[in-house]
Amino acid sequence: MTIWENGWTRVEKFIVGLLALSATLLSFYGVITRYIFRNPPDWAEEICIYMIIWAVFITASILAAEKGHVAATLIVERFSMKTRRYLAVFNGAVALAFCAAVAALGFKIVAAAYINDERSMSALRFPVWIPYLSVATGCTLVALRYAIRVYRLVFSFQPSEIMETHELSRDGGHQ
Amino acid sequence: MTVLFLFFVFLGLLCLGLPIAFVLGVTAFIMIAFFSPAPLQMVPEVMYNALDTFPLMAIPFFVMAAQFMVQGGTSRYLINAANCWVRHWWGGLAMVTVVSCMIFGALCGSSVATALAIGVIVVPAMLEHGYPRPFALGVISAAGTIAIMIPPSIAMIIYGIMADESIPRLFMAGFLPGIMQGIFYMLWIRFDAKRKNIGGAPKATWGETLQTTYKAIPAFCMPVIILGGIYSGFVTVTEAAALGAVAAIFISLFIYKEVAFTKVIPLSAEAMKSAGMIMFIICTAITIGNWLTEAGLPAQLVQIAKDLKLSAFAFLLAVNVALLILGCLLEVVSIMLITLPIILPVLKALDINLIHFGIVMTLNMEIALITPPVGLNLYVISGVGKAPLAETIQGVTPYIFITIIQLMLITYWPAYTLFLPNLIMGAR
Repeated sequence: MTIWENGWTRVEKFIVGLLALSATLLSFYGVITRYIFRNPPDWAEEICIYMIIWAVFITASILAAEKGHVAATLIVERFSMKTRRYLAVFNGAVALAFCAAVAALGFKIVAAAYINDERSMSALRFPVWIPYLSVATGCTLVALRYAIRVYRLVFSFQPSEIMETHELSRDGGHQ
Repeated sequence: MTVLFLFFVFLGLLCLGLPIAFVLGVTAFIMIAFFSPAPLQMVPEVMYNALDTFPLMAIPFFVMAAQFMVQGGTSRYLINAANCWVRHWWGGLAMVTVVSCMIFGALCGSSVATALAIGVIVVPAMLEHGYPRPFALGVISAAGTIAIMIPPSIAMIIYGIMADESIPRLFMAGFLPGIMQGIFYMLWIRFDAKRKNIGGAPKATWGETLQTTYKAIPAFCMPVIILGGIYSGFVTVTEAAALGAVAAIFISLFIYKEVAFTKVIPLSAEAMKSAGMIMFIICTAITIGNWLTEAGLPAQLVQIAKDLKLSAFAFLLAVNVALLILGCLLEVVSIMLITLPIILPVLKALDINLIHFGIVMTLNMEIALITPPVGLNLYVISGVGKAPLAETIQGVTPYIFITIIQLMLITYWPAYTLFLPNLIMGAR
């Protein structure tokens, strides 16, 4: 990974960490206010959901960068490195195409919600394009990650890029 | 015909090693693009709506609680205490592993997180004391799965949401089977360790036991906060999870003082990574479940079950076999999300108790976590032990059989699971 990509991941991790922590504290605050001040904020749950959904879709990008998305690799691991490289390019391209398509469709929904000024059903009347944007943003980020991965697999191939984590950590490497 | 075609697309992509979340997403996309009148814009909408529910938020909170407990030293204090209690038994450290996993399971709802949290400490210890590597790796892979049977449980949260059942009731139903499973594992360890002549360590003194137990008290408070909160009706499951996470952060910052303030955000991000992986799968898997329902598959299955005059038990047997096979091929969350929309209508038609089936499902998911080729615990623990997958598989095999016996007990003896919730929360 280049310095540039490392920085990208670090920013994402910071945002995700902040969102997850805030959501936790917000839920906690909701419980405390309900029992101590007898005045539960009706917006706490809703905002907490938005935060976690945003965190989930940004996390998808971190996972794509770190090969953290779980896959069934036992069959693939038995192939030669050359075949595995082709497969990795294919898989990367499929994931890229899927995410790009979902991102494009997602932005359409965001645009529609923004133009029509759609609001959530709760008392908060939160503009829904903000949470909707999470799907499109997350999928764009994941698509970018896979674009980089495919480019790298094609032009500057390193075997470690397609090895699974458990293969790398294993005594004696690949077997 | 369509279903069959899509099944092959699905299986093909899966075998080629495409991450499961994308296998599900791409299959759903093809389905909607070519075989459904619904507009493609449905895909991002369904992905968003899948996550837009407060009960699901319990998953990141439980994972966060677990993350802070591991980094904050809580799991180590727990293991130290368990070590003093049972280390002198046959297969001492293996017993410690099972007991630690059972306790950790009561404050963490994830099997992989539990296996990892306890594994990183007990695996090196077992290897150092001359335990055979497959034996050590097998014990922790299997014992980790108990975490989703003993409440809280992420698998039961997902089931509860899908089946529209009470999550606290499901948690309660898992309690007895979870403890019994730990006991079954320990009985096997005793037998196996005696045969392999793996003795225990010298018995701990009373002073040592008291001291380590005292140090682990904050750790023991966690299940009390989480489960106490839920069953007193004080908080919902998600709020209990958030309380647990806040308590875990507090304990690791101020009581054990093993986490620095600057680490709080990075650790939250790390926890979100594990939770995000599950939740990203949820949002792609749910699209498939929706479409299968639309395609009328569940109704067809109900009709088949009625035509064959299947009894409830015969149907459960068939489901168990199917889940066992799926469990070898797929990851846990995706199995639940794909199969439940198809199975649930049949369960209702055959008058099978949904709480009872929730536990059957959970146990099947436990087995799925340790059956190759796709068993997450196997991969995680092979990584921890720096061992080939084959060794872990070898070690875990006896436990798979023990768990299958437990599965038969649970499936054919509903009172085993329903006794406790009916006793405490009233019969329904």
